[in-house]
Amino acid sequence: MAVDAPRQHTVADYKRDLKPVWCSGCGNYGVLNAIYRALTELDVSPHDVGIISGIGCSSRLPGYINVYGMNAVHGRALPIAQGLKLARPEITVLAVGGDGDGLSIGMGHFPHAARRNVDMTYIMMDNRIYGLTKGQLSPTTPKGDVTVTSPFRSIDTPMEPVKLAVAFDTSFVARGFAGNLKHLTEMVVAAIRHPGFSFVHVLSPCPTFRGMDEFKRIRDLIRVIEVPATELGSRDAAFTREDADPGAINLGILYKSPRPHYGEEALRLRDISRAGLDHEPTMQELLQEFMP
Amino acid sequence: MASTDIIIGIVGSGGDGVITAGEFIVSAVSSEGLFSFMLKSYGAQIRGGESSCRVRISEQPVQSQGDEIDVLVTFSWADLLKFEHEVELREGTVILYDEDDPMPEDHVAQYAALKAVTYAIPFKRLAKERTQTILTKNVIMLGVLAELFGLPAKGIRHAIARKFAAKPGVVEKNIDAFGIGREWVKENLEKRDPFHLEYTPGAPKLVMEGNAATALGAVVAGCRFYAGYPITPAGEVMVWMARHLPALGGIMVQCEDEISAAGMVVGAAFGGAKAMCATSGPGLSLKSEMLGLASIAEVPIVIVDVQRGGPSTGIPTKTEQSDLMHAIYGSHGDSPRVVIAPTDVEDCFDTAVQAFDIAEEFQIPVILLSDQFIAQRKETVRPFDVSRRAVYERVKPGRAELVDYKRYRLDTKTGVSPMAVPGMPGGQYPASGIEHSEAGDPTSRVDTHSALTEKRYRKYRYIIEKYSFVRTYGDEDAEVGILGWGSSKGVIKETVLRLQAEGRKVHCMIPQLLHPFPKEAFDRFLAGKKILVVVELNYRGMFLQFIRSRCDIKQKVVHYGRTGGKPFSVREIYDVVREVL
Ligand SMILES: Cc1ncc(C[n+]2csc(CCOP(=O)(O)OP(=O)(O)O)c2C)c(N)n1
Ligand code: SF4
Repeated sequence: MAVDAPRQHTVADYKRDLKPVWCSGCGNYGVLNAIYRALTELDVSPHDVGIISGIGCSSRLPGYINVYGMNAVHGRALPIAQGLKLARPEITVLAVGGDGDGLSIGMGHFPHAARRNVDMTYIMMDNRIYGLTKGQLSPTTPKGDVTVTSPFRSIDTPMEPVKLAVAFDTSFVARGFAGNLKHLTEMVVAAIRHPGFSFVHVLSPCPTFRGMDEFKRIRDLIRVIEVPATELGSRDAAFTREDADPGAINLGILYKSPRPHYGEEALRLRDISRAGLDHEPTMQELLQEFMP
Repeated sequence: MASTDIIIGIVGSGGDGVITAGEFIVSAVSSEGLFSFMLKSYGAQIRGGESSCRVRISEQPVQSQGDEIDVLVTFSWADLLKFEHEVELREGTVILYDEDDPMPEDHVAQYAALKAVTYAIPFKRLAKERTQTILTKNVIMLGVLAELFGLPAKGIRHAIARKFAAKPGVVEKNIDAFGIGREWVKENLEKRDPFHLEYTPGAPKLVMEGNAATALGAVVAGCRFYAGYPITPAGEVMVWMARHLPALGGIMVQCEDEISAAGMVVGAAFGGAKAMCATSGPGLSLKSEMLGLASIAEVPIVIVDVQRGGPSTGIPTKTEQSDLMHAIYGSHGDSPRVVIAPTDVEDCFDTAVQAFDIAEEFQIPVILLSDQFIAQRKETVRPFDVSRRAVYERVKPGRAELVDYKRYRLDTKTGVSPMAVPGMPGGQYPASGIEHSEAGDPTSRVDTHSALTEKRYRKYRYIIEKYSFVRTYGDEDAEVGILGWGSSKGVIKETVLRLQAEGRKVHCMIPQLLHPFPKEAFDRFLAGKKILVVVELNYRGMFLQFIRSRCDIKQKVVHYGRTGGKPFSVREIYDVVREVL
């Protein structure tokens, strides 16, 4: 294998002409750029990539990348992406969407995607608000915050996506920040390389509905950490780390639970089910079970 | 007297092996080349509880479960009472019951009035004394039936051997039990009834339930991806796929819910695979948002809806034709889809193949509207030709088209634009539930929305042209016409045949394509008719409403619709039609 083979692709190969609808200053630009760079670094051909999204500002992302994309149904990026990957294992598949998309309407799919462990990457762009529908409370909005649907302050306890992902035993969990492009790119690359279902929680601020200082607020809290390999497989350690300092948000690869992914297991089933047969059953053979 | 068409009913409770016995009969007669049709019915309990089956046997293809029962076997009168509303007896019915459980006093007069012929048989005693286990009493009963009514003994022994092949001791024990039943009749019983099956054996035929036929049809059409969520009465489709798809190189995924199942299917189809999910009414409700997506993004998917009594949980184990409106109209927005309905078990196979052909050719979601009546009954079918099926593949862009590729090109005759699939260099495009330009870019322009909607609906005309297959029976120039759809076909056809045999003129039509509406075929059928009888198994009259919304019906209309649970009987439809003939 030629380790230093020159790359076949540049960032320009992944860009589409379409101008994003996002507000200026939106965190999603950072995520888009990180995905461009990650795909370039992985040097995967644009036609071999599928990116599926739900609905929301963040879910507009596939339209801006020159790959096979789908801006689908609110909350349903994960099932569609899994279907694509299972039908076409050779395609690199990503699912992207917002915190509302993934943790509210689509929450039912997240734990099952984790337990199924299809070899794909899920990037959640968390802006702690509903952007597209204009500023309603989201599942990650901090308690006490004022939004258009919590005009007197929010009384709901926010969800913590990373801890949920760890609880679901997601096989790869990482967090990045839209304002740290280099680090976020590394996270996305590592996630795509990981064989199995990988989850990247991205803090992707919405200045329009959470104020111009949201970027700074988050920047002040984040710290990039390097979790020792020996600790990566421990759920307890991951929870403890997340809770250790309420004034800090960890960025990095936070948890790993390596195991065979669904596609590999499915191939094993194929062998088991063909036991004793040296060929794929023919349709005529399938009819035999209906003979009296 | 020779019987060429005989109906046997068997009633018992959980451990009695009633359904197994019925299946042995079906298997036996099919292996001798006869036709059969078996309906099962259970009480409300999950396991145990009362169960019954009804098997019709005939030398001719069987259209329906028939009317009154010729021969009734019951292991327990108490169980029989629970099915009384489902079991109609004829004059001269033969009733076999266990000598252990004598006929209740209040039945004696009732059966005497029916001139029923009754035999008390020591099923349980023979089982205990001669085979040391009560478990064989259903097979002893089969021996009795075989001897008394001429059921094929060789076929039944073959079915027993096949069923218990993995347990050699059990095969012998049951073969013995079968012989014990026959012998007992020979030695102890004086036949007092006229039923005796006479037939010429023929080449063996297949035995299948509709759900398996649907799954097989899908696989023959090239489906290698199935996603599902368990629901009665569609479960067997998923179970069959789970058993067979892996070896075929495919994948069956059990999803967290029906939304996910539909989503997986959309994803797989977007990836170029032929993909399907099956469900029942409540699941179709959950899938309806995904149907909208498949419509606007023009992703070819197949959704099977095995209808059951509804709404909500309704009567989940029993049949109804009440999802018609849901299948045709259940959607947000202007969302084209195709609805086709299989009419019997064999047709489940054919329509499944066709569903994929339509979906792939027209890049449109197709709903296959089956129901519990055909999905879960066992029926004899002639061996399918699985080898020579012309199966349609979706149009993909050629190299020239991939330069500046427009996924949703408007200038095609049929509204179908070549569809690139991931992995195809130059074919990258965004598919979306958002209205889009020809290139796939999101837009909220009203002119584009209008042009793209027209493109998506343009397909209808060509679908109707190519796929508006209808079944008609009877005399074309009759003044009375019967219209029905889906699983009602059997009883309607049999009604027409019966009326014709009596020298009466009647015509009927059963469309396969329900939506888009094959108007020409309907108008042709309506021409010259004075009276229309519309038959459907739902309360609201959905089919009639639907036809009325499409055709200018000047005829006098007799609507015969009722809630489901119990499929139509031929007698029921016959009586309705006779009223107007
Ligand atoms: C079934 C359904 N319900 C509601 C909506 C409206 N809707 C669109 S996006 C959205 C939430 C967006 O929030 P999020 O997922 O966090 O994404 P963001 O816009 O913040 O990136 C909602 C409620 C919809 N499209 N579909
Ligand atoms: S509303 Fe917020 S999330 Fe949406 S584009 Fe604007 S800044 Fe970004």
